[in-house]
Amino acid sequence: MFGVTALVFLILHLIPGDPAQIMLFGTNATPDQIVSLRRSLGLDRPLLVQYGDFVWRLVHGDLGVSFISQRRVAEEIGLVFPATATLALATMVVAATVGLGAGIIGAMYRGSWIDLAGTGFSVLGVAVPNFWLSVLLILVFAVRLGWLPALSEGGARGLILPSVSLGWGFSAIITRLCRANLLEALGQPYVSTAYAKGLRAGAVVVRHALKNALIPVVTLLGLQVGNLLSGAVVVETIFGRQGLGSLAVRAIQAKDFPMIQGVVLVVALVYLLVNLAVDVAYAALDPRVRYG
Amino acid sequence: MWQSPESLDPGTSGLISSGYISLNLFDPLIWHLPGMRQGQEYFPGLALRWEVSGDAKRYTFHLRRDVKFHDGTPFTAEAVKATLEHIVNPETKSRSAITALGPYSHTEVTGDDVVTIVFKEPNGAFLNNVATSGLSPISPTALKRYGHQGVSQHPVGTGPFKFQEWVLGNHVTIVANPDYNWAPPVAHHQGSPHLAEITFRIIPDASTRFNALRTGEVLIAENLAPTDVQALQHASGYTVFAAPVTGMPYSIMVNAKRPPTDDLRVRQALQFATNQEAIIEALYKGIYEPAHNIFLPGTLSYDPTLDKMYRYDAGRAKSLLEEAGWKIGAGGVRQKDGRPLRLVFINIANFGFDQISQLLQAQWQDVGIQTDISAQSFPTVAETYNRGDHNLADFFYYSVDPFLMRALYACDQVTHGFNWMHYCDPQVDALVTKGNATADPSKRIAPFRQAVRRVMEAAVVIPIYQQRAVFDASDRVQALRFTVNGFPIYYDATLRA
Repeated sequence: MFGVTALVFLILHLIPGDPAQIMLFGTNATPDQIVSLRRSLGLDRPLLVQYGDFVWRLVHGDLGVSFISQRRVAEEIGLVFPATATLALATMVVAATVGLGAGIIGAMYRGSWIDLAGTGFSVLGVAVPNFWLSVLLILVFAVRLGWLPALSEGGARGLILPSVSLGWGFSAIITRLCRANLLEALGQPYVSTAYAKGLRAGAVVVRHALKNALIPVVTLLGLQVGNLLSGAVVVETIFGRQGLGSLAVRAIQAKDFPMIQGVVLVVALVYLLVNLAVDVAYAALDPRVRYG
Repeated sequence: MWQSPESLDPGTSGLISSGYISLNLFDPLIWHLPGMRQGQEYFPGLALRWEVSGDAKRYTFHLRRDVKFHDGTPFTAEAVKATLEHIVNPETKSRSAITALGPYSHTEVTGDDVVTIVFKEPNGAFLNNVATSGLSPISPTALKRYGHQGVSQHPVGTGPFKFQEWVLGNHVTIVANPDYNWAPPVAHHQGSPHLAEITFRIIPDASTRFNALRTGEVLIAENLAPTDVQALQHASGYTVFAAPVTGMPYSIMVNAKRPPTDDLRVRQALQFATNQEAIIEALYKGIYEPAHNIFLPGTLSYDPTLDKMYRYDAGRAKSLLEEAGWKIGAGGVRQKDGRPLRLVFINIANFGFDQISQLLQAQWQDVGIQTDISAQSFPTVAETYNRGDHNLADFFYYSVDPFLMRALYACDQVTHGFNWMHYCDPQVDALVTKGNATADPSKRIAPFRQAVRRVMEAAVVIPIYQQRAVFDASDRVQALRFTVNGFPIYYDATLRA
């Protein structure tokens, strides 16, 4: 986390463009006004002092005040965070359902047409960028067929298109990984043992093989959180949806330093927590892993 | 809407998106609605009558007595004073409104219904500016309760609609004000507005706005891509509103300091080598008109005879360049003293000039001028322009008054303002000051016309097209009208079932 704060801070201050000048643009401000605004924002101090102040306030739980809206950064992030969390969760549900489903079927009916279709589907999913997919889905399902809204508002219906756009790519990765691992697991002796006990194929796959095949998939899900949140930036913009992504875009355009830093920190924190959760999940999936 | 408002206080904001909303929440003292009634341009708003002193330093308004703010506070002269004091207060960090207000000195209150606004210098532009939403009175009770910054999230005005909800970055909702009974006399009806509620959705992506309009999720969309606008013009079920605006057209500013455009003949050659009609044909057919004047037609003192000064004439451009000593060299690029005729064209990124600059590059190549195009994002580009690293810059400027010339062409605006032409002519400055020394439109026109002529003769601005405020709407939206600067007026609008 410390590394993230330092890096973000440095990058923000290296990019040209003065926030004070941006804020006063169009006001016909005199150079004096710009200087005094810089002072009131604390931007006239040496970089190290600014950074020290930022970290000091951060450890006291204060993310500062947005240059633009003059509201507290934590408050604004708090307002939009649930929207992004909902989108992320819905995306994960889509990705996991489709990915695991296609992966299991592919492994069970290896080489059949349904496996080939699954493979084709996942190749497409990896290849097609989410912004293109979003536009395509909107054109087909919202504009042509009128089944779903083009704008993503609060309701569940509005969540379908964005979560599918974002989830397809991830489901594809999960499909590939799940199928490969499941095939490997199905070749293991314990699977033969399970069959020998007289269990049906479904039970063997779900209860024995899948559990072992899932471990790398769960790791992957944790690592994909970063990609998921960066994808949310694009998808939130295209669907006119509120969230961390669109907040970040606005903040970056306006060079709203406290807001950008706040968003990046929250994203980094989420990434950290999710991967912690993934580590804990190992214990549940794999009895060989024990903590403490 | 494409842009998120940063404030709903008309006194603070500098963004058009804020103005689109606050115009419905606040009423101006007077309305400037040319073209709605023959022979009259200004109409009563919150003020029934007004007088201006001969030196354009004192403006007296006689106010309505029957008006109440949304919070129940009666509208009085004190409210006008409180609003103006709010705008000039440094804590407010006012953007557009403080410029619109001009050289404000103080406000004199004479009883409840007479107020005089006093200026330090003549302010002939004030009548046009007071008629925009920026200087509209705010409830003094709200100013006290929420503070100079707080009112931006709690806008309390006298307008036909009341503020209801603002979800940051997503939408603003306003609802009809049932007590409203002070619409301008040119409105189609009196009393509360026909629409019960309006939601302004913020959708930054142009194709998303287009799609949302097609699915019926929004009824009006602004700022669509030109190709989408053209598509809707031919589709049934939609109305395309293209409201004229006033001020300066979309233009290229030519740096008069940096070689080789420091030579008047080179700048004139650029004017003659520019074919605006071809650009419109290629990009904006049916949406915008080509521009040949540094003022848009609706702007006070617009002089149509100046439109003839530069018309596309490649031969003329070539001979001017020859005269200036630029001879055709290797690869068709002109040269002088071994240096090629090369211009630095710096675009404002995502400002709508990318395609225009490429077409210009090709047009100018025909007369032997090489153009290097690059783009910088705003506002970094403003620093570059102020430094003068460019030969050519992008620009347009909305304004309701010809006094906009003060902000664009004044000598003291070169290093920190919008004078990206690095152009300084003390005579233009003097003419502009003269044009603002009276509020009488008939006396203002002549000095501004002379100033415009001088700027055009100096060839520091290449006008490209007359922008309009383009709104694409479902044809259910009816009776939508527009202010002089292209803001939609929703008061009379209705929605067909």
